[in-house]
Amino acid sequence: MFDAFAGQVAVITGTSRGIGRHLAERFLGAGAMVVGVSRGDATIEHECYVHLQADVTVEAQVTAAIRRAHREAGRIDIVVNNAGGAAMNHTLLTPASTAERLMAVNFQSTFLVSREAARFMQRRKYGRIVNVSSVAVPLQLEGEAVYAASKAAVATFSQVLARELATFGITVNVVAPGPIATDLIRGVPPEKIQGVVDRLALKRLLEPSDVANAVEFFCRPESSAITGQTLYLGGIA
Amino acid sequence: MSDEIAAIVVDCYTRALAERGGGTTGAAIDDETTLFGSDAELDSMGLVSLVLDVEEQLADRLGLEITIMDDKALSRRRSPFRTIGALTAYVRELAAPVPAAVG
Repeated sequence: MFDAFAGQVAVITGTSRGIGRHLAERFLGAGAMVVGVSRGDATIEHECYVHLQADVTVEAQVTAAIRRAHREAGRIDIVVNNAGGAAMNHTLLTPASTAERLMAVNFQSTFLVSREAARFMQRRKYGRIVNVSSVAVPLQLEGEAVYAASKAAVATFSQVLARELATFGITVNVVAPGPIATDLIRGVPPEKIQGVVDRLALKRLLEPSDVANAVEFFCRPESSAITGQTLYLGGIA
Repeated sequence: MSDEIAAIVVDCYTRALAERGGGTTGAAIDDETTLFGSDAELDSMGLVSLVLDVEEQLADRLGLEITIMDDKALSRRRSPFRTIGALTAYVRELAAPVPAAVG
Protein backbone atom coordinates (compact mmCIF):
# COMPACT_ATOMS: atom_id res chain seq x y z
CA MET A 1 0.00 0.00 0.00
CA PHE A 2 1.25 3.49 -0.77
CA ASP A 3 2.05 5.66 2.22
CA ALA A 4 -0.96 7.97 2.08
CA PHE A 5 -0.46 9.00 5.70
CA ALA A 6 3.33 8.93 5.95
CA GLY A 7 4.58 11.19 8.72
CA GLN A 8 1.12 11.64 10.20
CA VAL A 9 0.02 10.66 13.69
CA ALA A 10 -3.38 9.04 14.23
CA VAL A 11 -4.97 8.59 17.65
CA ILE A 12 -7.53 5.79 17.55
CA THR A 13 -9.66 4.73 20.50
CA GLY A 14 -10.76 1.17 21.14
CA THR A 15 -7.88 -0.43 19.25
CA SER A 16 -7.72 -3.67 21.22
CA ARG A 17 -10.25 -5.42 18.98
CA GLY A 18 -12.86 -5.20 16.24
CA ILE A 19 -13.01 -2.16 14.01
CA GLY A 20 -10.50 -0.22 16.10
CA ARG A 21 -7.86 -2.83 15.65
CA HIS A 22 -8.57 -3.01 11.93
CA LEU A 23 -8.37 0.79 11.66
CA ALA A 24 -5.05 0.88 13.49
CA GLU A 25 -3.58 -1.74 11.17
CA ARG A 26 -4.91 0.11 8.14
CA PHE A 27 -3.34 3.42 9.17
CA LEU A 28 -0.08 1.68 10.08
CA GLY A 29 -0.10 0.11 6.62
CA ALA A 30 -0.56 3.56 5.10
CA GLY A 31 2.54 4.91 6.83
CA ALA A 32 1.02 6.64 9.86
CA MET A 33 2.22 6.40 13.41
CA VAL A 34 -0.74 5.15 15.45
CA VAL A 35 -1.42 5.87 19.09
CA GLY A 36 -4.03 3.40 20.26
CA VAL A 37 -6.05 4.09 23.38
CA SER A 38 -8.05 1.45 25.18
CA ARG A 39 -8.65 0.13 28.67
CA GLY A 40 -6.87 -3.13 28.00
CA ASP A 41 -3.38 -4.15 27.01
CA ALA A 42 -1.98 -3.67 23.54
CA THR A 43 -2.98 -6.31 21.00
CA ILE A 44 -0.96 -4.80 18.16
CA GLU A 45 2.77 -5.08 17.75
CA HIS A 46 4.29 -2.69 15.25
CA GLU A 47 7.26 -0.37 15.34
CA CYS A 48 5.00 2.61 14.65
CA TYR A 49 2.32 1.65 17.17
CA VAL A 50 2.15 3.14 20.67
CA HIS A 51 -0.47 1.85 23.09
CA LEU A 52 -1.88 3.93 25.92
CA GLN A 53 -4.15 2.43 28.54
CA ALA A 54 -6.96 4.77 29.53
CA ASP A 55 -10.67 4.79 30.18
CA VAL A 56 -11.89 7.26 27.56
CA THR A 57 -14.99 8.10 29.59
CA VAL A 58 -12.88 9.64 32.39
CA GLU A 59 -11.80 13.24 31.80
CA ALA A 60 -8.51 13.11 33.74
CA GLN A 61 -7.44 9.91 31.98
CA VAL A 62 -8.26 11.31 28.54
CA THR A 63 -6.39 14.55 29.24
CA ALA A 64 -3.35 12.63 30.42
CA ALA A 65 -3.47 10.17 27.50
CA ILE A 66 -3.78 12.82 24.78
CA ARG A 67 -1.03 14.93 26.32
CA ARG A 68 1.19 11.89 26.43
CA ALA A 69 0.30 10.97 22.85
CA HIS A 70 1.29 14.47 21.77
CA ARG A 71 4.48 14.39 23.81
CA GLU A 72 5.56 11.01 22.40
CA ALA A 73 4.49 11.58 18.81
CA GLY A 74 5.15 15.32 18.58
CA ARG A 75 1.89 16.01 16.75
CA ILE A 76 -1.67 14.75 16.31
CA ASP A 77 -3.13 14.85 12.80
CA ILE A 78 -5.98 12.37 13.02
CA VAL A 79 -8.40 11.21 15.69
CA VAL A 80 -10.81 8.35 15.21
CA ASN A 81 -13.26 8.02 18.08
CA ASN A 82 -14.04 4.39 17.51
CA ALA A 83 -14.47 3.19 21.12
CA GLY A 84 -18.10 2.55 21.93
CA GLY A 85 -20.61 0.17 23.33
CA ALA A 86 -24.07 -1.18 22.70
CA ALA A 87 -26.96 -2.52 24.72
CA MET A 88 -30.15 -3.69 23.09
CA ASN A 89 -33.19 -3.70 25.28
CA HIS A 90 -36.75 -2.45 25.43
CA THR A 91 -36.79 0.95 27.13
CA LEU A 92 -39.19 -0.34 29.79
CA LEU A 93 -36.56 -2.88 30.80
CA THR A 94 -33.49 -0.63 30.60
CA PRO A 95 -31.83 0.34 33.88
CA ALA A 96 -30.64 3.93 34.32
CA SER A 97 -27.11 2.64 34.78
CA THR A 98 -27.18 1.23 31.23
CA ALA A 99 -28.29 4.60 29.85
CA GLU A 100 -25.52 6.37 31.75
CA ARG A 101 -22.90 3.89 30.57
CA LEU A 102 -23.95 4.12 26.92
CA MET A 103 -23.92 7.92 26.95
CA ALA A 104 -20.49 7.78 28.56
CA VAL A 105 -18.85 5.25 26.23
CA ASN A 106 -20.44 6.57 23.03
CA PHE A 107 -20.84 10.31 23.53
CA GLN A 108 -18.75 11.48 26.50
CA SER A 109 -15.65 9.66 25.23
CA THR A 110 -16.07 11.23 21.77
CA PHE A 111 -16.46 14.68 23.32
CA LEU A 112 -13.46 14.33 25.63
CA VAL A 113 -11.00 12.88 23.11
CA SER A 114 -12.07 15.36 20.40
CA ARG A 115 -11.69 18.29 22.77
CA GLU A 116 -8.28 17.32 24.07
CA ALA A 117 -6.87 16.43 20.64
CA ALA A 118 -8.29 19.56 19.00
CA ARG A 119 -6.45 21.69 21.54
CA PHE A 120 -3.22 20.39 20.00
CA MET A 121 -4.50 20.29 16.40
CA GLN A 122 -5.48 23.97 16.43
CA ARG A 123 -1.87 24.98 17.05
CA ARG A 124 -0.87 23.56 13.67
CA LYS A 125 -4.12 24.62 11.99
CA TYR A 126 -4.70 21.07 10.78
CA GLY A 127 -6.72 18.11 11.94
CA ARG A 128 -9.04 15.30 10.93
CA ILE A 129 -11.56 14.00 13.46
CA VAL A 130 -13.80 11.07 12.58
CA ASN A 131 -16.53 9.92 14.93
CA VAL A 132 -18.67 6.82 14.75
CA SER A 133 -22.46 6.89 14.77
CA SER A 134 -24.91 4.22 13.56
CA VAL A 135 -27.73 3.48 11.14
CA ALA A 136 -29.74 2.86 14.33
CA VAL A 137 -30.31 6.64 14.38
CA PRO A 138 -32.18 7.10 11.05
CA LEU A 139 -33.76 3.61 11.23
CA GLN A 140 -35.11 4.37 14.73
CA LEU A 141 -34.65 0.76 15.71
CA GLU A 142 -36.96 -0.53 18.41
CA GLY A 143 -35.04 -2.00 21.31
CA GLU A 144 -32.17 0.42 20.69
CA ALA A 145 -33.66 3.67 21.96
CA VAL A 146 -30.82 4.54 24.32
CA TYR A 147 -28.10 3.29 21.98
CA ALA A 148 -29.59 5.25 19.06
CA ALA A 149 -29.91 8.36 21.24
CA SER A 150 -26.25 8.15 22.25
CA LYS A 151 -25.22 7.78 18.60
CA ALA A 152 -27.49 10.67 17.60
CA ALA A 153 -25.64 12.71 20.21
CA VAL A 154 -22.35 11.80 18.51
CA ALA A 155 -23.66 12.94 15.11
CA THR A 156 -25.11 16.24 16.34
CA PHE A 157 -22.03 16.99 18.44
CA SER A 158 -19.85 16.37 15.39
CA GLN A 159 -21.88 18.71 13.19
CA VAL A 160 -21.59 21.58 15.65
CA LEU A 161 -17.94 20.80 16.39
CA ALA A 162 -17.23 20.94 12.66
CA ARG A 163 -18.42 24.55 12.66
CA GLU A 164 -16.48 25.44 15.79
CA LEU A 165 -13.23 23.96 14.53
CA ALA A 166 -13.44 24.98 10.87
CA THR A 167 -11.45 28.14 11.56
CA PHE A 168 -8.56 25.95 12.78
CA GLY A 169 -8.36 23.81 9.64
CA ILE A 170 -9.84 20.85 11.51
CA THR A 171 -12.57 18.78 9.87
CA VAL A 172 -15.04 16.67 11.83
CA ASN A 173 -17.03 13.93 10.14
CA VAL A 174 -19.05 10.88 11.06
CA VAL A 175 -19.14 7.34 9.74
CA ALA A 176 -22.40 5.58 10.58
CA PRO A 177 -22.32 1.88 9.72
CA GLY A 178 -24.98 -0.78 9.74
CA PRO A 179 -24.36 -4.07 11.55
CA ILE A 180 -20.78 -5.33 11.36
CA ALA A 181 -19.52 -8.76 12.33
CA THR A 182 -17.75 -7.79 15.57
CA ASP A 183 -18.05 -8.46 19.29
CA LEU A 184 -20.58 -5.64 19.57
CA ILE A 185 -23.39 -7.67 18.00
CA ARG A 186 -22.33 -11.10 19.23
CA GLY A 187 -25.12 -11.21 21.85
CA VAL A 188 -27.84 -9.96 19.53
CA PRO A 189 -30.25 -12.59 18.10
CA PRO A 190 -29.53 -13.32 14.40
CA GLU A 191 -33.13 -12.57 13.37
CA LYS A 192 -32.81 -9.12 14.93
CA ILE A 193 -29.65 -8.41 12.95
CA GLN A 194 -31.29 -9.74 9.78
CA GLY A 195 -34.21 -7.39 10.40
CA VAL A 196 -31.81 -4.44 10.32
CA VAL A 197 -29.93 -5.71 7.28
CA ASP A 198 -33.23 -6.13 5.43
CA ARG A 199 -33.86 -2.39 5.79
CA LEU A 200 -30.57 -1.50 4.11
CA ALA A 201 -30.02 -1.37 0.35
CA LEU A 202 -27.02 -3.65 0.83
CA LYS A 203 -28.33 -6.99 2.12
CA ARG A 204 -25.25 -8.11 3.99
CA LEU A 205 -23.32 -7.53 7.18
CA LEU A 206 -20.59 -4.95 6.80
CA GLU A 207 -16.91 -5.71 7.17
CA PRO A 208 -14.47 -3.67 9.28
CA SER A 209 -12.73 -2.77 6.01
CA ASP A 210 -15.93 -1.03 4.83
CA VAL A 211 -15.71 1.28 7.84
CA ALA A 212 -11.96 1.78 7.47
CA ASN A 213 -12.40 2.82 3.84
CA ALA A 214 -14.83 5.59 4.79
CA VAL A 215 -12.69 6.71 7.74
CA GLU A 216 -9.62 6.88 5.54
CA PHE A 217 -11.50 8.98 2.98
CA PHE A 218 -12.39 11.60 5.59
CA CYS A 219 -8.84 11.61 6.95
CA ARG A 220 -7.05 12.35 3.68
CA PRO A 221 -5.38 15.77 3.50
CA GLU A 222 -7.28 16.43 0.27
CA SER A 223 -10.63 15.97 2.08
CA SER A 224 -10.22 19.47 3.55
CA ALA A 225 -13.54 20.69 2.11
CA ILE A 226 -15.54 17.86 3.67
CA THR A 227 -16.72 18.58 7.20
CA GLY A 228 -19.83 18.15 9.32
CA GLN A 229 -20.92 15.18 7.21
CA THR A 230 -22.43 11.87 8.29
CA LEU A 231 -21.74 9.01 5.91
CA TYR A 232 -24.10 6.07 6.33
CA LEU A 233 -22.87 2.68 5.23
CA GLY A 234 -25.07 -0.04 3.83
CA GLY A 235 -27.39 2.05 1.72
CA ILE A 236 -29.51 4.45 3.73
CA ALA A 237 -29.95 8.20 3.57
CA MET B 1 7.38 32.41 38.25
CA SER B 2 4.60 34.93 38.93
CA ASP B 3 6.16 37.58 36.72
CA GLU B 4 6.62 35.02 33.97
CA ILE B 5 2.96 34.05 34.21
CA ALA B 6 1.94 37.70 33.96
CA ALA B 7 4.22 38.15 30.95
CA ILE B 8 2.76 35.06 29.26
CA VAL B 9 -0.82 36.29 29.74
CA VAL B 10 0.01 39.74 28.33
CA ASP B 11 1.98 38.23 25.40
CA CYS B 12 -0.88 35.91 24.55
CA TYR B 13 -3.45 38.68 24.83
CA THR B 14 -1.42 40.89 22.50
CA ARG B 15 -1.12 38.04 20.03
CA ALA B 16 -4.83 37.17 20.20
CA LEU B 17 -5.71 40.81 19.54
CA ALA B 18 -3.33 41.05 16.61
CA GLU B 19 -4.57 37.78 15.08
CA ARG B 20 -8.13 39.05 15.18
CA GLY B 21 -7.28 42.46 13.80
CA GLY B 22 -7.85 44.20 17.14
CA GLY B 23 -5.67 46.45 19.25
CA THR B 24 -6.65 49.48 17.22
CA THR B 25 -7.60 51.65 20.18
CA GLY B 26 -4.02 51.80 21.40
CA ALA B 27 -5.21 51.41 24.99
CA ALA B 28 -2.53 50.31 27.47
CA ILE B 29 -2.65 46.63 28.44
CA ASP B 30 -2.68 46.19 32.19
CA ASP B 31 -4.38 44.18 34.91
CA GLU B 32 -7.62 46.09 34.39
CA THR B 33 -7.84 45.29 30.66
CA THR B 34 -11.23 43.68 30.06
CA LEU B 35 -11.25 40.25 28.39
CA PHE B 36 -14.91 39.90 27.56
CA GLY B 37 -18.09 41.94 27.52
CA SER B 38 -19.16 45.01 25.61
CA ASP B 39 -16.02 47.02 26.40
CA ALA B 40 -13.59 44.18 25.59
CA GLU B 41 -11.50 44.33 22.43
CA LEU B 42 -11.44 40.53 22.09
CA ASP B 43 -14.42 38.69 20.67
CA SER B 44 -15.49 35.28 21.99
CA MET B 45 -13.21 33.32 19.62
CA GLY B 46 -10.38 35.64 20.59
CA LEU B 47 -10.91 34.65 24.20
CA VAL B 48 -10.82 30.95 23.20
CA SER B 49 -7.53 31.54 21.36
CA LEU B 50 -6.14 33.45 24.33
CA VAL B 51 -6.92 30.67 26.81
CA LEU B 52 -5.49 27.94 24.53
CA ASP B 53 -2.38 30.02 23.83
CA VAL B 54 -1.78 30.69 27.54
CA GLU B 55 -2.05 26.94 28.24
CA GLU B 56 0.42 26.20 25.43
CA GLN B 57 2.90 28.86 26.58
CA LEU B 58 2.70 27.68 30.19
CA ALA B 59 3.59 24.18 29.00
CA ASP B 60 6.35 25.28 26.61
CA ARG B 61 7.98 28.00 28.70
CA LEU B 62 7.36 26.83 32.26
CA GLY B 63 6.65 23.11 31.89
CA LEU B 64 3.24 23.60 33.49
CA GLU B 65 0.44 21.45 32.10
CA ILE B 66 -2.66 23.21 33.25
CA THR B 67 -6.27 23.23 32.07
CA ILE B 68 -7.52 26.75 32.69
CA MET B 69 -11.15 26.28 31.66
CA ASP B 70 -12.26 23.79 34.28
CA ASP B 71 -15.38 23.37 36.39
CA LYS B 72 -13.82 25.45 39.16
CA ALA B 73 -13.23 28.38 36.83
CA LEU B 74 -16.77 28.29 35.49
CA SER B 75 -18.44 28.00 38.89
CA ARG B 76 -16.78 31.06 40.43
CA ARG B 77 -19.02 33.98 41.24
CA ARG B 78 -16.36 36.35 39.88
CA SER B 79 -15.14 34.99 36.57
CA PRO B 80 -11.38 34.52 36.22
CA PHE B 81 -11.82 35.58 32.60
CA ARG B 82 -13.08 39.12 33.27
CA THR B 83 -9.72 40.92 33.12
CA ILE B 84 -6.03 40.29 32.42
CA GLY B 85 -5.37 40.63 36.16
CA ALA B 86 -8.08 38.13 37.10
CA LEU B 87 -6.82 35.59 34.56
CA THR B 88 -3.21 36.02 35.72
CA ALA B 89 -4.24 35.55 39.35
CA TYR B 90 -6.23 32.43 38.47
CA VAL B 91 -3.34 30.89 36.53
CA ARG B 92 -0.99 31.62 39.46
CA GLU B 93 -3.46 29.83 41.72
CA LEU B 94 -3.56 26.79 39.41
CA ALA B 95 0.23 26.79 39.10
CA ALA B 96 0.88 27.05 42.84
CA PRO B 97 1.76 23.81 44.59
CA VAL B 98 -0.90 22.63 47.02
CA PRO B 99 0.14 23.99 50.44
CA ALA B 100 1.01 21.40 53.04
CA ALA B 101 -1.54 20.93 55.77
CA VAL B 102 -0.81 23.06 58.84
CA GLY B 103 -0.98 21.75 62.37
